[in-house]
Amino acid sequence: MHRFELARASSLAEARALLAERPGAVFKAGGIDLIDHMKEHLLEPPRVVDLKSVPGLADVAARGDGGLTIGPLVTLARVASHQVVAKAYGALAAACHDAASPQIRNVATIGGNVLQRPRCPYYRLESYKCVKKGGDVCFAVGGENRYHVIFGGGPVYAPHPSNAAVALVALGAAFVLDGPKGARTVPAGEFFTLPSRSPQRENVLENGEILTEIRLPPAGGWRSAYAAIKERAAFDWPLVSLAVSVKLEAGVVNDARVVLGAVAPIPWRSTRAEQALRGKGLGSETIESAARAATVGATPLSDNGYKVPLLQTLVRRTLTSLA
Amino acid sequence: MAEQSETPKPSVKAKGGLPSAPETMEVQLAPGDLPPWDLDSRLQVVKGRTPRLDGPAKVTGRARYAFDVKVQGMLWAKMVRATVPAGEVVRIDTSKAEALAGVKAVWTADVRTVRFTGQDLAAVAASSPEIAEDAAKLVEVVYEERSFVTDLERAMEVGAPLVYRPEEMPGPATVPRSGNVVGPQAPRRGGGRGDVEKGFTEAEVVVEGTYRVAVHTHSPLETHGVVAKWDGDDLTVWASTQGTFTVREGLAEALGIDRTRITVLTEHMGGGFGSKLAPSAVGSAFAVVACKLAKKAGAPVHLFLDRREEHLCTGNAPSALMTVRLGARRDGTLVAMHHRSFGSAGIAGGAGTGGPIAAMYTGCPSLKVEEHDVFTNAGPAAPLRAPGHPQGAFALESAMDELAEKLGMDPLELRRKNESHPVRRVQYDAGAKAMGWERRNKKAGDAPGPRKRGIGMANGNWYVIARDRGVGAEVRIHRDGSIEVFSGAQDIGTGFRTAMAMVAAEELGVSPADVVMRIGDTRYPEGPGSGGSNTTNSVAPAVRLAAHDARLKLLGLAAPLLKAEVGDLDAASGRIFVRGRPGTAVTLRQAAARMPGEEIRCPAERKAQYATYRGDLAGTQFAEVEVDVETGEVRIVKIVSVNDCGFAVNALTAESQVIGAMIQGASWALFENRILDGNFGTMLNPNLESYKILASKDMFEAVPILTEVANLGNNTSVAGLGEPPIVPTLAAIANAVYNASGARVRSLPMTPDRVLAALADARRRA
Repeated sequence: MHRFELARASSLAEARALLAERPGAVFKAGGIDLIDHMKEHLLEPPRVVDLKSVPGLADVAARGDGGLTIGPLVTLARVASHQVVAKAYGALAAACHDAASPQIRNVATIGGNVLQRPRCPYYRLESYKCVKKGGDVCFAVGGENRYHVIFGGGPVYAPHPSNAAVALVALGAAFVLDGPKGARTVPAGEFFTLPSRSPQRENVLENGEILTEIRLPPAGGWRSAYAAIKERAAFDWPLVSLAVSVKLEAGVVNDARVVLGAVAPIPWRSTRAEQALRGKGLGSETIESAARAATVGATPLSDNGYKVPLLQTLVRRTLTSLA
Repeated sequence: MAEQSETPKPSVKAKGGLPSAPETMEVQLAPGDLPPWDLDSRLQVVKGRTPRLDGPAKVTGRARYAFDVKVQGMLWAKMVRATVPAGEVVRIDTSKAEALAGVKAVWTADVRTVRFTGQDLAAVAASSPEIAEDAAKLVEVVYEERSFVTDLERAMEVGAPLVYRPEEMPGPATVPRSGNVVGPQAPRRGGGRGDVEKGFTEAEVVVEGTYRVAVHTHSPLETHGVVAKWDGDDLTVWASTQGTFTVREGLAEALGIDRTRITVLTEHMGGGFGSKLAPSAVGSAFAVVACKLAKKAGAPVHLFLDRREEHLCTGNAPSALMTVRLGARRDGTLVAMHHRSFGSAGIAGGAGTGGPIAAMYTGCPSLKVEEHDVFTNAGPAAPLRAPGHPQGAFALESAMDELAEKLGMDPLELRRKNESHPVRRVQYDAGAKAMGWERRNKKAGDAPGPRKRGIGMANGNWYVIARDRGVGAEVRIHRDGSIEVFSGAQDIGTGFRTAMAMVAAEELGVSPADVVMRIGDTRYPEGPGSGGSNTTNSVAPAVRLAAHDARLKLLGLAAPLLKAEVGDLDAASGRIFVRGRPGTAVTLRQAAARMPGEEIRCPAERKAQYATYRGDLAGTQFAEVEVDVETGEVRIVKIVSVNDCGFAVNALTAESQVIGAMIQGASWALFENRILDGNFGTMLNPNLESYKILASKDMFEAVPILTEVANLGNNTSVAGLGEPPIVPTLAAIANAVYNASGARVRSLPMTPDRVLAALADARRRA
């Protein structure tokens, strides 16, 4: 195994300095995804800068505007069981609870979950130099693609792995990124980037930047839900997932966010499905049209066409649960 | 302990078969053997429920597995494996690895032709596992790559890349071969009778279906490996194996040394399921390599495979492509059966799946079985829990269900009509009752949706396989009354250790906890490899003989103390007493104290199976599932597994084995799938994250039922249980999915995409 030094930072500034000192150094939160990368030699950092020792990154706090701030180092288990999250941001609690296994949820952090790299086997195996790793080919095309994307593919066809991210986009969250040039706030919906823009990355986080806060807007009037379909009931990656939040007034959908997971290289907002809902009650006809709208424009690969009807079912069921 | 004649007769009458339908049989004993335990035997310990003697050590982490062994000065080894699926090795350059500080020895393979990704090429031994891994990465291999094929059906095509040149192809030259395909062959245990084409012309109803099963890897929790240590010319090997003596023989042959120089130790082992029957593994010579590295380095070597290697080169259950055709009369009587199968055991043979159809429904007058092995550039298969039978039963029993549907007949009635042995009848009744068979949908798919429930059933079969030559056991009674039982065989996880203690305890009138078990050590009496469900039934009769001998000797020591004849004495609860006068007694300890020396040694040899034994084992299973017809998700609600295993020495661990088989079978049916990339020949899920095995949230209500049958095959009436309970599981689940949803899923695993496709197909037909 590759040798590295573990550096414990006591502040964000120190963390950034420790990173900058050693080219190739990386930050570590829970370490779940990082250790996987190191074991497979996808990353061989000379230094790992542990953020766990930085105070204030693992707090959940109410915000003055009625929203909520979740620190990036809060574990998935804690997010899932947090009373305010469970009550006001149901989609997020459900998405975190649905991830991985209890053992992993006790260690994995929400920041790490959102920033984890794709689970595509071609990316994860050292022997394939795929587009994600700077090569020329996405091996899923013409190879195994049962678990790959039906939206937004090219030149990479690996789905985004984070389902917490799907919920956060649906909830209108924002990410605070703290970097050498200062802090900036990026809406979750603009944080993730398509491979056509940057094939080797999945988001706008710059080297040296740290995700320091996840901000949730006030939930007043909104209701949300998350659901997924998986092969195995636990410890599995969804075939399709979905987070929806709707603002209902007098039974009419005032606003809606419909975000599809495991089907695109980013959490995929279905503006068509949202349009089908706006200004309507959550009756069966509206739900049906939203379900069909959600898969318009899908371009399945050779072996993942089954995701289309699965998504429609998931949209139908999830909206029905919110009605 | 039953009152039995203390001096065996060559021929005795015994009451065998089912308790509800006992048969008195004349049993011919081998010289020196005991009359069998039968339905009249009043057993005190055997057939009871004894918790595993090694349970506390295992759950507290005190149990030492081979992987855990650390010896002074030990080095760590790592194998270098082929990264291409086919080609010639031009050069293996180990110079950079050898130059790395901490590297103590290097080995390179003689074989130059690569036929699968993961084949052994080289190995290094170093002072730490990290250095070994680094060194392995420094070994440079240059290949001349060749075209390859990994997919079963593509390998069958004309013009497919050849895995072997014709003259290199393994297997008997008498079997027809063409391209990568070898066959047709009859199953190992025979098969074929009557004129099947004539049978089909006489049939009033015919069904035909083609069924597919993906490759399943054994995936034991403890990976394959050994620790090898030389002391001069003597070699000690701690092995994670299901055949201590197989490892010893394999190493003796490969290293060219006498077996007397080799000791193989397996105190505890973390699973094998058939993959650890080879001296090393079917696709790797790692144990031999470890011994060679240890010799070269002059230091002990720890060589255990990682999870990826475990998937690649230690065996798997072959894929299968099976077409089954059944013909019956309107009343359900089978008149013709035809099984034609292709399967890939990778670079090996042995992918046959005709076992179940050859052994079941024997009243059917015509049968044709044609098996074909198809070579692919993939790791070789190894026996996996009833080799070929879960796949074959999936095809046969799915087809039986399709036949029942076409006949408009209850699927259970169709089985009753064609497989009506008394043991089967008892099993049908017990299973149907425990499942509530009457709750099934009378019309498939007729349950309220979208999460539809349904119930299915399937039959399975296995064989009584016993090694009855060259198996021994020894019982030692010490002067202080303590008892040791020795068998060199290993406990693969079935509870063998506890079962043998129970057999000895039964004879000696003590509790199993009073018996110290010494197993998994080739310095002890020879035992079998744990394959074919044969360990308990091979060794238990020898343990009983040894313990019986010890019992007689103890009674002999007690007789003068009690002023009675040996023939009037009995032993129970650690005491020896005059039969009918329990107050006239001495403790076993008091009797043992009278022995002239320090210990009494009673070795015994396993005697031949009795001529009366029935060679078949019957099993039937009922499954209840819930199918989400909108998402294709299948959830198993309940499985009832009914099994004949002769006498179950320990009902507790026997049921545990049945439950384990249900889980493994359910996992096979729903999840497990080795995915090979057809473009590069690489396994894409060589881990336990994306190679999916059933986990706790998918667990179902598991109901094991043991059908008591006095087998009268040997002096304990024990038969076997490791394999039979996995045979019907795949089919029972598939049939339940059909009953729930009306969708016939003919490809395993039944993932949502396949279930949705089958549902769409069913809708098109409706």
